[in-house]
Amino acid sequence: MSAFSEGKGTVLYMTGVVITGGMVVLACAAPWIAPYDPALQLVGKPLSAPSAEHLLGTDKFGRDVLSRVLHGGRLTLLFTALALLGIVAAGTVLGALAAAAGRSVDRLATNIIDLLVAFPAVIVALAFAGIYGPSLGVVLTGVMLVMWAPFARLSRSLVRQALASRSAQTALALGANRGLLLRREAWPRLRGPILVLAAVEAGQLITVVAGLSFLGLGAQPPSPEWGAMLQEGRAALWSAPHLVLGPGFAVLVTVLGLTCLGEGLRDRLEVAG
Amino acid sequence: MRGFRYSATLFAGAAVLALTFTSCAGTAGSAPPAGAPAGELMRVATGAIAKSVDPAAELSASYLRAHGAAEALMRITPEGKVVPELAEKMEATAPAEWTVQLRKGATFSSGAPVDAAAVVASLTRSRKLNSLAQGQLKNVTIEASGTDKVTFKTPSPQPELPFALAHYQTVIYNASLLAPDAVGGVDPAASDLSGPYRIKDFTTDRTMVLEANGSWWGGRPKLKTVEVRQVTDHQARAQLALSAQADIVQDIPSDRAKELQQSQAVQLVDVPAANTVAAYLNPSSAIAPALADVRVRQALGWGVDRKELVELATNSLTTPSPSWLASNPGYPDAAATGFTSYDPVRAAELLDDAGWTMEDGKRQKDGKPFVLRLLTFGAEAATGEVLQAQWGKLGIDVQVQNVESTLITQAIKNGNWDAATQAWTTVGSASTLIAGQAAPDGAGNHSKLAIPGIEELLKTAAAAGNAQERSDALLEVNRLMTEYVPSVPLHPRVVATAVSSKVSGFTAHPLQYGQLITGDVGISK
Amino acid sequence: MLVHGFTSLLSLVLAASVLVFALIRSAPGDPVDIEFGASGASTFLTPEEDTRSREVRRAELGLDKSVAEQYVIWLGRVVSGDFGKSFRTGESVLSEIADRLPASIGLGFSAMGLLLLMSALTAWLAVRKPDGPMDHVLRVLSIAAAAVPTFLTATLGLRWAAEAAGYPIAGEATASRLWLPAVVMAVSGVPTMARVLRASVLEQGAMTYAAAAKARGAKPRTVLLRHTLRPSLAPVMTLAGLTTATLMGGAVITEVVFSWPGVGAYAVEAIGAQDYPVIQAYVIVMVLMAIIVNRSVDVGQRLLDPRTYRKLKGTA
Repeated sequence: MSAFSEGKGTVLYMTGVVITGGMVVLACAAPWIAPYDPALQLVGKPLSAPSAEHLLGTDKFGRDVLSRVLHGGRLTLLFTALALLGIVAAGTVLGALAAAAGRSVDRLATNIIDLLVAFPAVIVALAFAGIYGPSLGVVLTGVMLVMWAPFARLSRSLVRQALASRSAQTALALGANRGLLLRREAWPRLRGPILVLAAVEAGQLITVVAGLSFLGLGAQPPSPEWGAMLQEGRAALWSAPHLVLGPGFAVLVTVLGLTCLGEGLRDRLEVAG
Repeated sequence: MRGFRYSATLFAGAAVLALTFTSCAGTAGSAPPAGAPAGELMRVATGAIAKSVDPAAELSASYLRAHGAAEALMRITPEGKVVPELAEKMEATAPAEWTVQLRKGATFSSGAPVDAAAVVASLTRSRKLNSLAQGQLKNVTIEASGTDKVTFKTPSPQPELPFALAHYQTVIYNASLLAPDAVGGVDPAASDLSGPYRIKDFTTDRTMVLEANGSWWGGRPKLKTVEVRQVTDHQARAQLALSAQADIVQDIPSDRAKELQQSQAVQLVDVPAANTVAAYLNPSSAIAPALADVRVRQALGWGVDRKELVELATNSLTTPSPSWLASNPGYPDAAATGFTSYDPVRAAELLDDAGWTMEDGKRQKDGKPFVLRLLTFGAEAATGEVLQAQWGKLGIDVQVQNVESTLITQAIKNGNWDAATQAWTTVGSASTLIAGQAAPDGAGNHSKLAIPGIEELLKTAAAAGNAQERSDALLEVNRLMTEYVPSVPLHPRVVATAVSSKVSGFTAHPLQYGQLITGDVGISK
Repeated sequence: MLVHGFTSLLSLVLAASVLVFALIRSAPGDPVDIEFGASGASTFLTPEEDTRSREVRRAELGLDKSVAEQYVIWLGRVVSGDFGKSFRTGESVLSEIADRLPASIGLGFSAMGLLLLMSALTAWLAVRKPDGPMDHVLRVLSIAAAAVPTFLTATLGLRWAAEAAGYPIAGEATASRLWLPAVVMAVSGVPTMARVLRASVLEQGAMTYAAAAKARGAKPRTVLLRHTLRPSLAPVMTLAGLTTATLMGGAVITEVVFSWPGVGAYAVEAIGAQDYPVIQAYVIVMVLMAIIVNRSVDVGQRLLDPRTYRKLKGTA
């Protein structure tokens, strides 16, 4: 790696940290810094343009857009964090198990993982919404059932590499505990790449769920989820663009921050590809 | 890397080939509809078209009729009067008997005559298979007397029967082409009706192409082809009108009204609909048992700020409806027998009385919170969201879900629902229509409430000899509906239509399913 | 090789069918009620007919039998193409899906074609001077593109095209309507694809077998075509497989925004009406398509990679 790309990595990484960190702070502080109740109608005149009173204007029900974007961020980051925790844990563990298990189990697992990696999460979520009725929880469950696969694939290949290393082979020959070996040899190799992937997938997760809410299948009213807000704002794209600007910008910046974070981490940790 | 340039060119070339091939494949088989020259083709965009060409299928006839492809014995004019359509005249020939003289020479588009036998056959089939038709023609004996006369006998005098025969669900069709005991089907050939236009091509959920019906009794219609396209997305519809890609666009979302009003090429026609959007309540709901208590239902009625509701949910394109009958201009006193004001104090007291007490801003009873699932349809999504906020202020946790109308019908049928919005027509045979809402077995009385004394009142109204007597009885029914609250009346539906300035002969119809395309509607080049 | 490919495909399809069956049967409520009672099927039937057809259906589904037998019955019906009738229209779901599938496939392939075309051009620009300015612009673009959701570009694109270029907002699946959703879908994937293509070409160009061929005195064009381009397409192939998944998902939103008469928009409408037979058929069709794409990528990679290629030749 040239000195230049290291520098680039740091810039990317820092940008990612600042944006993501800022978003988390804003989201956590939402109840205190949001000027109004996000569901309260008629706090301002309906569809009023941004003003000192309502920095991002109001929507068609006279709700404060800024407050809604902030509370929406709280919701978005919370469910993203929870879902991410679930898929990272499940994917890493299952992938490691597949690598450590025998050949036939590994081959079956690889087949399933490969298929899931190439399966559109949106469609599984769509099916779930169709079967269990549209709601944020249902849609998230559907998305999670697919999105653990990239983690499993990564974890599987890295654990295999680790177990095949000379030191691991020696340890195994000397009768070392397999679990301990996984933790000692595999985990340090795993940490970095998993983190990189998590940052990238978090962005994906947000976009997919916002898209489903945009279709009316995710968050239900009066939830200020960003995708749902964008759906509402679409009506007034030209006459009241502030309705789209707020949540649109929020999605953009958050996903941008997470992608920068992932790319930056990749450069810093010198993770391939 | 000179060689890469070469390979990239090769790669790009292959991609172009693939693209050209697939875009050709994409277009094959879907030729542009109807090559009628400009001035003879009318492009209509609407939120929903008929699901089936069978006029007895739910709502199908309403769409067919709106676009000039179906006729009934009578019709209701935009002024609210009932006049003959397929009938030459309709007379009361005895106290409880009406006789219809059929229009001479009227035929179905296949050429088959619209004779007495055909009328009896189609009304009998519709009544058997469709609950709305059943309601309109309840206890009516329909008999052919000769080839061009049909008599309608009722157990008691029914002065408003002509309105029932103007209803879209009583349109006349050639029943011999359709299954006698099941409805459905999308083959245009099976759908043989009368009217200025007839179905040429039908694709469920997409398009209905109509062509001029050369054998129509009313002469030659002005247009050669009417292309009715279903565009589900509200915003896409508004955009179609703004960019002049459709000549008539129905169901314009209220949040786009301002833009359309400012446009030169389009006119936004907006008449108050002759129906009342109401939140129907289910007193036997297991999820919201509170609805069984009349005080709770009353609280929901008094707890709606209708002025704010129409402002926020409909951009003030409609007006508040304090009672069910209030959207019928023929009954100006109906508003006074409804929820005359927004009274949150009274609503809160009623809820307290019923045992639903406030704790931390939420109503609860015996430790159970007051949760209410509200189903809405189409543009009523916004109404639902305002109701959610207004009832939320009373401490009720309202969960809104916007769904298709058929889903609401199903939910009501199987009993798994708490509240749902629907809009039923109020103009027409007022006594029949209100009976549908208030009678224990009325098709629109989803609460199944049996309001004491209601049946006698409805009978009086139906048989009333003069307008005053009828009006008194109906207003009393309307008042009882406010007292027992089978549904919470909200506002007439917004009927906003964008009409291109090229369109001539268009008259806005206050009936949601009124005739939009008539033989007189034309278009300039 | 072929036999192995076929059995693995079959086992994959079978495994997927079990999952789909489980998903569909896990819907809350009685299967017949779901299909009928709660449904509009009865909207098209008289009460007597309704009761009768419910009993018929119950027997058909074999609900009194064991779950395994039920699965076999279900699978038999699916394989024979019997997806039932749509609640909303009373029409055969299979014919309704078949009616809309060409529009979706046409859009998907066009988007893919555009995506490959634009990626190739971008990669060509970038690879001319590795680590040059174009290279960095490409990286920034790829990060930005990941942040812009399809529904935003679709909405803005539609509005702009309708006003500026007279783009037909609603209508049939014609070429005059195809280009815009295809562009919207393609644009989002370009930077990533171009990046992979670029990296892959640079990497393979430095491989020993390419150098060896050059040393043997092969023409540069031959080296590139036989020794660099073919192997460098393998990672692109993998990515194309993944991109297809993204496109299939993105198509749902694009189809809705552009009122495109494809299966995605159809499925969204069906979900609004809880039209279970349609939802089930949509899921099955999508799973099948995903498996086909997955397997094709697999086979494609084997053919492209010189190592496996040689092995294949050896065994054949």
